[in-house]
Parts: sequence; C-alpha cells; structure tokens
Amino acid sequence: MAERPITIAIDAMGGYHAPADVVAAVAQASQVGDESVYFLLVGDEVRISDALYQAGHNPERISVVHAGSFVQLGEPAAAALEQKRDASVAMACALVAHGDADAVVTAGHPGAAVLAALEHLKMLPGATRAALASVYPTPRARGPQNDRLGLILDVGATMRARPEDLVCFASMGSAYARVVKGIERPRVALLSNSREARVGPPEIVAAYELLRAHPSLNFYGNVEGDEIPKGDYDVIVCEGFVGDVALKLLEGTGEAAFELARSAYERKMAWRMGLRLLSGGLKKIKTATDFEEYGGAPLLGVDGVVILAHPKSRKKAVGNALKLAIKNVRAGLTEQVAHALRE
Amino acid sequence: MTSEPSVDMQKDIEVPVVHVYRWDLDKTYLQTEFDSVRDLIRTALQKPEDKATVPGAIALLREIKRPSDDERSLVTFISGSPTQMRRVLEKKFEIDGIRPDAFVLKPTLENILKGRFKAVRGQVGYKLEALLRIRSEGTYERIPETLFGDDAEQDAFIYSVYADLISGQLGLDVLRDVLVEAEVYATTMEKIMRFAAHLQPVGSVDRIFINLDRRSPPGRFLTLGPRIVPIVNYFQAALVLYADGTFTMPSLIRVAGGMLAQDDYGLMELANSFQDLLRRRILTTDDLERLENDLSGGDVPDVVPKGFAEKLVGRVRALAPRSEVNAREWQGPPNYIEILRSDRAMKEAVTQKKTGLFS
Repeated sequence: MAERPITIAIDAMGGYHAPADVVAAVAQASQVGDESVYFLLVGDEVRISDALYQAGHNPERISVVHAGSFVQLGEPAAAALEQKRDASVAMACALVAHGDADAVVTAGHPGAAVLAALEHLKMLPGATRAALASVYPTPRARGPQNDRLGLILDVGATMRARPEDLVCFASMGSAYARVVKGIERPRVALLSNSREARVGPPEIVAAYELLRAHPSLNFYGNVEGDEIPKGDYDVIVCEGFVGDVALKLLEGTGEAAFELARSAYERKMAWRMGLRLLSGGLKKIKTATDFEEYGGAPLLGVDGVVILAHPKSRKKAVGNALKLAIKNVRAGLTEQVAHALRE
Repeated sequence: MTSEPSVDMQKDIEVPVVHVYRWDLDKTYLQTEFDSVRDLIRTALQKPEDKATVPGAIALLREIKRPSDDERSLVTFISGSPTQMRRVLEKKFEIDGIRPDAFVLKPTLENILKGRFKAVRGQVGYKLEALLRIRSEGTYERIPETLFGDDAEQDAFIYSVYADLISGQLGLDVLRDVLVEAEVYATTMEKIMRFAAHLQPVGSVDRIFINLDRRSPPGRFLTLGPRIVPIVNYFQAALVLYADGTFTMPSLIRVAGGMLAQDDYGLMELANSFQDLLRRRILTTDDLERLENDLSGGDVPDVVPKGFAEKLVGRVRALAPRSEVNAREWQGPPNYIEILRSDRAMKEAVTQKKTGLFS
C-alpha cells in the first residue's frame, strides 16, 4: 500500500553552511528513499535556485517558498523574529501551522527556531512546556532495534523547569522512546546531584515525588551526571540549562578523546602502530559519537514535528535530520506525545 | 537503416510538415538500464510489453503525432540499441500507439565483426552520421527541429554540434577537429564530412530536451547554451513547447492527463515540475499568465479531473518566484573541443585518495 504523502519544510537559510549544504542535503534526499515525501525549501529563492541548479536533484519532489529574510546565528532571537516577520524559520513553522507541511527541519539559530515554533504552533494539551530532546551514544543496546542511543531532555528549549514541567518532559520523552525507538516501557530517570530522593534543589525533590507517583511512567529514580553516558536509562529528564550543559560536555569529551589520540599518533612510532591497528574500531566509535550521524533534536510538546539540527551541520547531518523528521511524521509522533500527555 | 513508410503513413503525405522531432530511444523514450552486464542482458531479453517508458513520453509523442488536416510533424528515432532489437522495439511502439517516421538502430554486430570496438560504445560518430543522413534523405531543410535525448551518453553534445551544423554556425574545419577529438573512425568521419559539406545552412533546432535520467545537475549543460533544456519528465517538455507556441493548451493538458492516468503522477509532481522551470528561468510568469487565460477562455480537455488544471496553476502561482532575475548568462558559442577534453578529464579523475582517521 502506498504511504501517505508527507511534506517537510526546511529552513534553507539556517546554519553555518546554509544554504549550500542544506540545499545539497535536500537535493540528495529528493533522489532516494520514500517517493511520497516532498520538500519545501524556505529561504532566499535566488540563492536556493542557484544551489539547486548546480546539484543533481529530483525537482518533482522539491518546491521553493521565498522568504525575504533569515535570523543570523549571532542575533538575539526574540528581537530578530520580531523585526523579521518573513524570516525563513518563521515561515517554515507557519507552513506546518497552516497544514502545508508536516514537519520543520532547521539548522539555524536554535533559540529562534524554538521561539518561532512556539509562536506558530499550538502547545499540545497537557504540555506545560516544550522540550528539546537529544539522543546521545551509550554502550548499552536497547529496544527491538538494538539502539545504542539514550535520550535526554530538555537540552535547551527553555532554561528553568518546574516540577510539573519535568513530569511533562518525562511523559513526552517516554512517548518518543516508545514511538521512534520501539522501547515498550522506557526507563526514565531524573538528573540530579545525588541518587537520594531528598537531596537536591527543591524542584528536583518535588519532581521526584511526582514522577514516582505517576501511573504510566516507568520511573527508576534519580541519576547523577556520571550515569548519563553509561546508558542504563532510556530517558533522562532535566531542565534545559542543565541538559544543554550536559550534552555539550558529552560532545566535548568525545572530541577531546580523539584529540588526545591524534597527538599520541604524532608522538611515538609504537603508539602510531597501535592506533593504526585500532583504527577500525576507533572509526566506529567516532561515527557513534559524531553528531552528524544523529541529525537533530526534536522539539516535543508542540503540535507538529520540529527538528533542530546542529548549526554546524553539513550536508550529511542535515540529511539525517530530514530522515529523522520523516521517521517522526510516519510514526505519528505528535499524536503519540499528545496521547501520553493525556494519560 | 530506416523503416519503410507504412500504408497508413502514405495518407499523411499530402499534409504539410511543420515540425521535425528527433528522439533518442534508451533513457529518453524507454526506461532502459544498461549500467551493468546483467542490465544489458535483461534489456536484451525483455519482452516488448515489459519495457517501461519514461513518464509522459507516450502522452507527449501522441500529441506530437495527433492527426490534423492542416499540418503534421515528423518523428524520427535514432537509437544506440543494436539492429537485432528492431522487431521487439517496433512491437513496443505498436503497443504504445506510436508510429515513428524513421527508426535507426546501431550496427553493433557489424562494428564488432570489423573490430571497430570504439564504435560499439562511442555515440558521437554514429549519431551525428545518422542525424545528417536522415536529414539529407528528407526535403524539410527549413522545417524547425526539436531534439530529445538524455544525460546518460553524449546526446546534448551531439545534438548541439548537429544544431550548429545545420544552421551554418559550425564550420567544416572545426567539425573535423571535433570528430578527431571524439575519436571517430576515419570511415565514419568521411561520411559525416560529406553530409556536412552538402548541407544547406538553413536549418534550425529550437530546443534540445535532455531527460535527466541520471539526475545530472541542470547547470552542467549551460556550456552548450540555452537551447538545451534539461527536464525530468515530459510534462516539462510540453510546458516549454506550449510556451514556445508549438503546443496548444489542450495538448499540454492532454500530456498532463496522460501522466496522471498512466504514470501515477499527481498535482504535487506536476506543480513542482512547473515551478522548477520557472526557477530556472526557462519559463516566465508571462507563460503562467497565458496558461491561466487559455484555461479560463478555452475548452479544457476532460482528460484531467474537473478543476485540476486550475488547481495546478493556482499552486504554481502560489509558489512562483517572487524575484526578478534574468535568464542565466551564457558565453557562447560552445567550445566543443574543450567540452570533450574536460568531459574526458572528469572521467579520468574518478579515483580519490582515501584519508585515514588521524591523517
């Protein structure tokens, strides 16, 4: 049976390498995979057309929506969106709000992307706040797909979170792990500075009690920072500020490890030979820890699929963000999150 | 080798010819795979009814050959398939309801037996000679021509050389240099030079449509000039022919209808195809307006659902480019020798050095 056609709106001007890499990723995606997926490139029509002209693509699956401006990465998000009503990220979100697209993908200014999504898309009933959910590599395989990725949220949609927000994040994260990763009863943990329920800031202590009493969550308790990379839990819940710091720490640790290996490689012949022998395995680790492989983070809690890719995303990362958006739409992520919030 | 005119075709002879369409076959009309030996064998053994056509090709050709009391068009096919395939391919045309006025196939077996192995794969000498020979056999020197090829071989290049030859823009000296650079066998070269020497420089090629079977970047063909129109389906070709005044609105709608009915196309694909031509400045918003006027004032053939054409135009209008940009600049005429050399260099530069994890 043919699948329902879906349309992905892409902020073509978002990211350090836009529009070239964004357009190149869409051009490639248009030639492969699901033929019932269409792409709406939103941005400067002339620049997008020029990029498409130089790229092999299937124009039957691509259309371009002109946007007169875009939010630059260094700009204050709220003020920029206020001034630039025709910014590409805002127009892409509006396309979803009006039913012209099923999902948004952007590698642009993350703050602007969250604000634009919150302005144009309704919050799901029961969602107290939106949360950015990010996957990260872990040693433990989970679910029917033997997925080695853990999920952490919120990683920066908002700074602070109230206890009820953290419960909302747990419900949304569980729904995501269930729908997208196929984990039947995702293990949820609350990030704190102690495993003790009564230790930590008051909102964490209160959140612990709410999560423990929640009837449909598989809550395991509090975890400390060192347990994040171990991956014993499927969903880790925290406020946006903490999540953002934790995620960047994970990224930075991986990069630092490879820097150390690189300097060892250059220093001694014996180390060089050892690293050469290990290079196959190291490449796998590098791939597993490379953000380009995961594409992006879904913004949960809004009435539509919104994927934020890393602003440094090149063609490959944007391509993976597109895949993630398609997967989330096909899985009915928004409906499933809404359902989880109703429970 | 051309096919004999059928009895039915004799009836047409009194009707004046107003346009000549020259088609390639594989990857232009037929969706042929010949990238591997297995593909070649499968293609060779395929039954006529199993051969698939490129979306819209049948609908477009039926419009081109639509009978009229006032005028008619000629359709010739020049294919790189071997002559042994004639019966199967003619049967395929019959199934599709297409009646070519000439159908040329490549003497591959003869080339092998004579040890002319470069000619087995090479297309420049074979196609140029066939194009010029067919032209020399007809009496339609002043009739405008439209050519159809694909991006798998050198169709765009060959058609451009042909177009410049028949319009007198390419001299015999340059032609000889081009043929030498393309490594055409001396016997074929002499034939081409002979045909070229007898050409009346009064011909014109309006458009060269290149089906992007391999999804080549459209910009790749700019060096050959704006008469080359890269397309991904034949609705796009029909749109350009409509914009040029060669096709009427009903013809355009019938091609769209054929693609909806036979090729599983929908509103999105057709609207996006239309927008693509606007983005590339091959069509302008004036063409869109003309179509809107024709649709509101004329009888829309009932081959598409009611209101479909208006919906299509509406969607294209909603997504039409807002910026005023002129057509892409082209520094002509093409330097054919340079194009051949850079093509060859590109093919040779396929090996890339692998980089290590730490180096």
